[in-house]
Amino acid sequence: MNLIQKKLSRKDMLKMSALGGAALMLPLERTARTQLAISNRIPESQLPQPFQVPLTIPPILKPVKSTATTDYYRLTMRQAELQILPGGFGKTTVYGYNGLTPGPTLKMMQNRPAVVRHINRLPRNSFNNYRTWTSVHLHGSASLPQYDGYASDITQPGQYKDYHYPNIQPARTLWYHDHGVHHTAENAYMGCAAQYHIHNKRELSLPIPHGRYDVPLVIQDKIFAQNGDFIFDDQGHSGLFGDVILVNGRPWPTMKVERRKYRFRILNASISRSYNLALDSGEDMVVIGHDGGLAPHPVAVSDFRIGMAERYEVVVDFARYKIGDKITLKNLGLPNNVEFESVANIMRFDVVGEATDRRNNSIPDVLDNAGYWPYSPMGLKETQATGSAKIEVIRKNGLWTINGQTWEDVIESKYLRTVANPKLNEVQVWEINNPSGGWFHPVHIHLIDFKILDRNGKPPHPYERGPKDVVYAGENEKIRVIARFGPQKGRYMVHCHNLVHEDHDMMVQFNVGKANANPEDDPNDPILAAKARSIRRMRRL
Amino acid sequence: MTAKAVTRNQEVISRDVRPAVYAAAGLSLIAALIHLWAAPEHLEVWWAYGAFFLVAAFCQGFFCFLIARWPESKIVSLAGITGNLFIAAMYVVSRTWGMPLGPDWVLFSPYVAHLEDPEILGMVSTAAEIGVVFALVKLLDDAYRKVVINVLLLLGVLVWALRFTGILP
Repeated sequence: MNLIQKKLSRKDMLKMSALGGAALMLPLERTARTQLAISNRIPESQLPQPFQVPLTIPPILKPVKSTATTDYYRLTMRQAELQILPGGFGKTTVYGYNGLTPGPTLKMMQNRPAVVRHINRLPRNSFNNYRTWTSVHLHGSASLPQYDGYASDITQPGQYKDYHYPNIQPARTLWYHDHGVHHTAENAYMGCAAQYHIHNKRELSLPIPHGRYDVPLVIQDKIFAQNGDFIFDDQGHSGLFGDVILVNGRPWPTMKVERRKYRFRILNASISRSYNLALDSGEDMVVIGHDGGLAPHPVAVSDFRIGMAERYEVVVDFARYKIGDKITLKNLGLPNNVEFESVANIMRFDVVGEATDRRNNSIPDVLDNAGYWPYSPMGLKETQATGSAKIEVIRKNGLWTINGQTWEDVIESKYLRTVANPKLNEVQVWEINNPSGGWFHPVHIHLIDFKILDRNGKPPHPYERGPKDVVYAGENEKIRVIARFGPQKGRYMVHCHNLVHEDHDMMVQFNVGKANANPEDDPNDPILAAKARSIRRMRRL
Repeated sequence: MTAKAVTRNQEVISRDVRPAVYAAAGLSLIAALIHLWAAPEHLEVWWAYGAFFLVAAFCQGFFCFLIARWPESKIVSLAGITGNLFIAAMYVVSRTWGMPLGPDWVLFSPYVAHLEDPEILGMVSTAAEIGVVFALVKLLDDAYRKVVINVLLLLGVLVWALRFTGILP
């Protein structure tokens, strides 16, 4: 018979508590660090005053090489310290293309292909304790699947990937931004976003503003810490709503303008905020272009709604004002955003002089019917449709889903699961349904341009009657869109462009012209066809 | 733990050990119930996550029986220590570094950094598992106990070292 007399000494307990303490403390410590960062937010009362800094225009990237057929570019994603806030606030750590946010603008001519080498030199472990893999999406481009920024086609820190862009579509405002699975919001929020323009002869021949009167405006909202850094607080994956508005990376900037027309390429690059834009003078702006290029006809509006990732080309005529006038671009606000007093202002235009160049200072009644582009949706009629799909954006069991599915379901299916399988060049009508009254979801369909047929059975808003690739699915709205699926075959994503929703996990895919194809037999498989390579074995461009 | 039960195994457990057996069984049951409760929501995300929770719940539940039936067994105690440490380690990794495995079955896949936030039930469960480990250590013979405690110390030092060097975020 054994007598077990057991006592743990104080020393034994201390030894074991090293591990026990780690198990209980480390998760809490990580959360506490995050909470501490959030609590360090600059109070609204101490935010910088608006209209203290001038607008800056992102630089235009030059090719590193040009051949008879192709231009070659190189961009490096890296961390940088930028002085974003004025007035004694510290520098802000950003992740930017070439260390800039927004990154450089790329300008292309239609039908001249480009190769852009994206090098990931971001720090391996990010500000938010995640691995900083990236996947660059050229939003608005009919790129092949392997160059479309497929979420799971990731480039790890220390790798690079050459993206081939056909630039075959008509003139338009595109943008490139990160699309890496589960961390798109963080990477884009930290600065990985920029514009990309395709021009063509037709657009350049129009008498609309060009050159220095054609101005990109990238609008974002941010939360800043006292030390000047960004704070990423997505409120439990519901949304990120900042109280500082940046335009081209500057807080509530001012722009000096002449008494003439300006064309603004407005991109909402915010993570979760939508805007209702208007001039404080109450006068009209003229919408001349959309996500997919120029509108058929100009539309004058007093205000218009712009969801995340939407682009509107807008002409403002400052000849209506006197020298010395100051006109503010306002945000009138929209439901289900977290509003702050500070986000009611976007930027200010200061009229400083007469026009120094009066060329290209009008808006023709007909802008572009895009009849020369077979994939333009503008001429499509419902009777041409031979297929359809339903996209329901809904929160289910604590997850953001599309038709009850998530990107994890796609991964689990070995990337085979799809929500639609249109044939190449097939015309389809898709119905996008947001049954929620508490959320809005800008839905982005990759590859194609579509036309909005109706919203809850009524005609679309006048300002959105052009080629689009993002549709604002407002509260309790059912929208029908029509598109011709092409010109590429393969798997493409469809997702909510509230990037927090996209990351968790409101994203699925469709397959054009290749239903049920085995990925390993697909020469354009989005993951396998063009893998990222190590920087150490970087080839010459 | 009754005198009769232990007599069958020709051992007598002194009164100061009995609470350790009760503690190990009770805490293991708490952890099991929490894992069972959390299984459906994890099943929604990925079947293997749900399966992990169900298996953990079953093992911890079954362990209550094992430790009550064979409180003096080194194998039972060591298995309990190892199993509970593994489950607790999964909790720590998923809350600090990210899930090591995702639906594509690839280690260090894009799901690797899918971070979870610590929540009350998870913390209670982990505390229960650590409690089980402490109680089981107390049940070990002197020689085993010394070795196990030193191994736990080394693991603890290693985890803190990983944290302070930034390898564990």
